[in-house]
Amino acid sequence: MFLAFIDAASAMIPPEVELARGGLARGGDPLGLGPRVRSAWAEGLDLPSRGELLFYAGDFYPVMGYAELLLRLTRSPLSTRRLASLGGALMKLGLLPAALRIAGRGANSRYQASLRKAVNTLIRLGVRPAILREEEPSFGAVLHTYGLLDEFSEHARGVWERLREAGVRTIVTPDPVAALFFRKHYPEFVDGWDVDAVTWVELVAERVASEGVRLGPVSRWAMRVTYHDPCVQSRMMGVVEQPRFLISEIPGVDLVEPTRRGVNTGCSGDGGLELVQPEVARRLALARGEELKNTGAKLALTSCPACLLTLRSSGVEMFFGDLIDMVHDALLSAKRGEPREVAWAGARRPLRLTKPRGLSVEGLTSTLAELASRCVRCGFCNPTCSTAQVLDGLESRSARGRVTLIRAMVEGRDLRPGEVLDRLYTCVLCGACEMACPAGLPVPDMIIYGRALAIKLGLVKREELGVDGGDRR
Amino acid sequence: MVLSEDASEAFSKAIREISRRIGGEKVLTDPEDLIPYSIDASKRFEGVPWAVVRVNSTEDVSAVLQVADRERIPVIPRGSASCLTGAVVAKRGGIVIDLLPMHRVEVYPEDLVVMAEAGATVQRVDEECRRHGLMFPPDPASSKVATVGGALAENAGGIRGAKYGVMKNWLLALEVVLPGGRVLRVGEPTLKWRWGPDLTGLFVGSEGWLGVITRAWFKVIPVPERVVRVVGVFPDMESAGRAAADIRASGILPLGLEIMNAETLRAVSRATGIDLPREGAMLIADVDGPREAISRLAKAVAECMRRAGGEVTLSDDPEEMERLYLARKMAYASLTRLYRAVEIEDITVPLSRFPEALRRIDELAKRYGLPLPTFGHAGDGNVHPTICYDPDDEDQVERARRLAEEICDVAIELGGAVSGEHGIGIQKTGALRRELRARGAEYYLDLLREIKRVLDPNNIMNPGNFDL
Ligand SMILES: Cc1cc2nc3c(=O)[nH]c(=O)nc-3n(C[C@H](O)[C@H](O)[C@H](O)COP(=O)(O)OP(=O)(O)OC[C@H]3O[C@@H](n4cnc5c(N)ncnc54)[C@H](O)[C@@H]3O)c2cc1C
Ligand code: SF4
Ligand code: SF4
Repeated sequence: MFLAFIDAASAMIPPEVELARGGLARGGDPLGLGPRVRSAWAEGLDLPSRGELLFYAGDFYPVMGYAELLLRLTRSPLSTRRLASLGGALMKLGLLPAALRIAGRGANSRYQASLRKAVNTLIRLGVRPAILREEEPSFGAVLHTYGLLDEFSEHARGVWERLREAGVRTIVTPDPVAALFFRKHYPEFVDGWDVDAVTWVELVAERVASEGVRLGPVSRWAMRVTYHDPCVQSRMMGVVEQPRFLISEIPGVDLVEPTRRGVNTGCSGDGGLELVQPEVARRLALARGEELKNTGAKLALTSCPACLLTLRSSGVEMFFGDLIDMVHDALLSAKRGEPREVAWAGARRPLRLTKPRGLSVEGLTSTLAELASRCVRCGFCNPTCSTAQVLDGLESRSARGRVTLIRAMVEGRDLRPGEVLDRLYTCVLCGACEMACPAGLPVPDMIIYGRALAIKLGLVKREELGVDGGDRR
Repeated sequence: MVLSEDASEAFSKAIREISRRIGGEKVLTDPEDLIPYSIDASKRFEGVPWAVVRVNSTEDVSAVLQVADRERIPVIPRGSASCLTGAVVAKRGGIVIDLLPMHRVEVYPEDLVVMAEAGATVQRVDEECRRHGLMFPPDPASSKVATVGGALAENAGGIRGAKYGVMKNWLLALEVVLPGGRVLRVGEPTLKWRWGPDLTGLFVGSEGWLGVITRAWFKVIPVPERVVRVVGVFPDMESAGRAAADIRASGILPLGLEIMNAETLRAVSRATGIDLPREGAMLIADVDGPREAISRLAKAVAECMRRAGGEVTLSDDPEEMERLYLARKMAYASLTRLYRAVEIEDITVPLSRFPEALRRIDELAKRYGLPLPTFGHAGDGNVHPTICYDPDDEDQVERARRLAEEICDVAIELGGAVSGEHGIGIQKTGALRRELRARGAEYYLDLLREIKRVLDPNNIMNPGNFDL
């Protein structure tokens, strides 16, 4: 029954999403590269495979170089969609992963190096986490992001099992998206979830302060840097001061801030968008890249593999680097000083959950109907909406427009679910709308549930019509 | 409104022609694109347009109005659809012209003039001016979304209105496209000009039923040297209202003079976390002016407040001032977080009757047993009693409806107006009729109809507002 749904769902979702889902099913990661490739970064590390504190690499870091290659290919004359359709077939034959494995190795090495540096930094700071290597499960970002919620919730329960087997109580991860999932979406979907999660940046900042570490100079790095706040890290989890603390601790490094920063950061075009709406993603990345460049810094640091990917592929001439690498180097020449007590605003605050009342059409409908009825339609969310900003405020691809579409969908208006899905898929889940909303609506959560509902309604419609009535393809 | 088959065919042809002339990528016809354009912030009124055209230039607008007029297709100009009265929904179908892509702003600091395209937000205009040490005074609470076109068409006002008035007080010249596609320039972008009756005024408050505003020129002023905020906390709204009237009568013209009742204060506090008194009423007076005069003016304002029974604090700390400004700006928005249905009223009375109006609103709240958070612009006698109710409870819905009528009647009886700044749209057509009748001015709507016949003979412009 469940498998039948999966196969049917692929009739609704675009081929790009199907590609990523197929990869996850085959190889345990969106590109289907398999556990050997994914765990290659950890070779030679002498760390336990069980423990209360787990270092979790996440779905993106270990394979980001391969994704970079794929993204470059999609910008060739071959359109994303054609490549994806082709990719779907190749994926089924296992050929795409094989080809990527060979061609993408070079590009991937720097992401792998960052992971090793992240772990080594922790070790130097007196933290010895466990790592799961080939056993590390994907956190299922693809499933949740694209609205395949039945699969996600089953997957999430499996992840919980594996973490429990390994005795994990707390996860530390350099991937802020993974941290957000473990702190927000896992509690929403897994009853009894009791694993804590913290970002690498938070933990390292805390340790540097409490251990009295004085970071040393980093001669090979640019001295004038800027920092791009990943939206999930800053806006959604309140981690704003910690990366700035770390940068300011490094002697001789000068931080210049971009216009949009902290909780008001600007999107660099990820959030799953680069797969389904590459044109919008590209515009966002370009706008953000230019903004970072306009600070006058030569180097922009950030703390999210997906942001790094999009910024590095934006075409903006600037160096984009991982904060991990800089902190790692600064630690090599560090000295010991006095321990310090530093309190950061909002650190490790509990996140607001939006639990769906079930994942059936009825459950999702009733969850969304209640939320949408609280929207006062003021439009205050629109000017801050990342996608609206690059589309001149096009209402149907703005926050309020999406909420309106969702409301129309739950009211049973005559809409084509595939087309609704297309509008909802443009959203990058940056959360700017939620922060601007006077009614306090969790718009990104609504959009995820809206995607799930659109997929399900599309399937119902297809069944009724016998053919592809609800399909956009 | 659904089209007949013939009309539908004619409409498709018209849309094809528009696409050909201005570019098909600017024209939306998918229902999944149209439904997001069917609403406004009234939360009650909806109407799905037949098409949306996203214009980039005056020429685009002109092309649309030429075709639409020939084919008798209704046209609705639209900014951010933040209006609260249903004025911007496609009541009779038609083409929505989305002006958001037209958002250029140019400041001419030496001339003290700013030019803005219709789709630029009011906040953007002010921000651009501030780069040059200038300011654009109108500041509706919705300024980060309200567009120049929408704010002009609604003659929006805001917190700084006590001293600086509403949109029309700053307008110098307009570019408007009329049905048929004719581009009209009225006024001059100079601080003074006169050619006969000021026709810019014809389009101010017109709610989109005469033509499409594409550009506007405004005068601007230097940012005031200093602002001091005087805050009074009063036992009740009436005494706060008395203080406000007293301040105005003493000849002082505060930049803003804002009033909030206890229910509003509690709601803002809850929604924003800003610490505010929970009982009584609050009056916030912002006094601006040159350094030398400011403390004398502030003291005089404080004295008026004390006389009316207020406890007074003064501040010129920018952060503290920003906090309170935000508190007031967030009033309506905060209520929407606490109540499932909120309907904001917008009456204005002569300043001398302001305390009485507040007292009567208080009495109505008690009589109807519905929460009635009330706040407003005491400096110009404009107050927003905001009716909060449960939309699923029929009895409450009915009570809310009657309460709204009675609030408007208070304004009419006290010699005021049923709308100070939000406009008429669909929501207020009945109330406007009652107001006109009470003033013996029923001819007004007929006069509007005659004017409309001259400029829009086929009645294509946003039909349905004001019942026109
Ligand atoms: C939370 C909130 C707070 C508010 N606070 C205030 C306030 O303090 N003061 C105030 O005055 N109002 C306030 N409003 C009401 C509203 O924001 C204003 O009326 C605003 O000026 C409308 O601008 P808009 O761009 O959203 O116009 P829209 O809602 O898009 O349109 C409003 C009307 O103007 C017409 N129109 C729009 N553009 C043009 C154009 N280019 N040419 C001709 N006609 C056009 C439309 O057809 C419609 O009739 C508030 C609304 C909300 C939701
Ligand atoms: S709808 Fe919200 S989460 Fe999605 S892109 Fe817009 S602001 Fe970001
Ligand atoms: S800001 Fe919130 S209430 Fe206003 S339109 Fe957006 S989602 Fe709705």
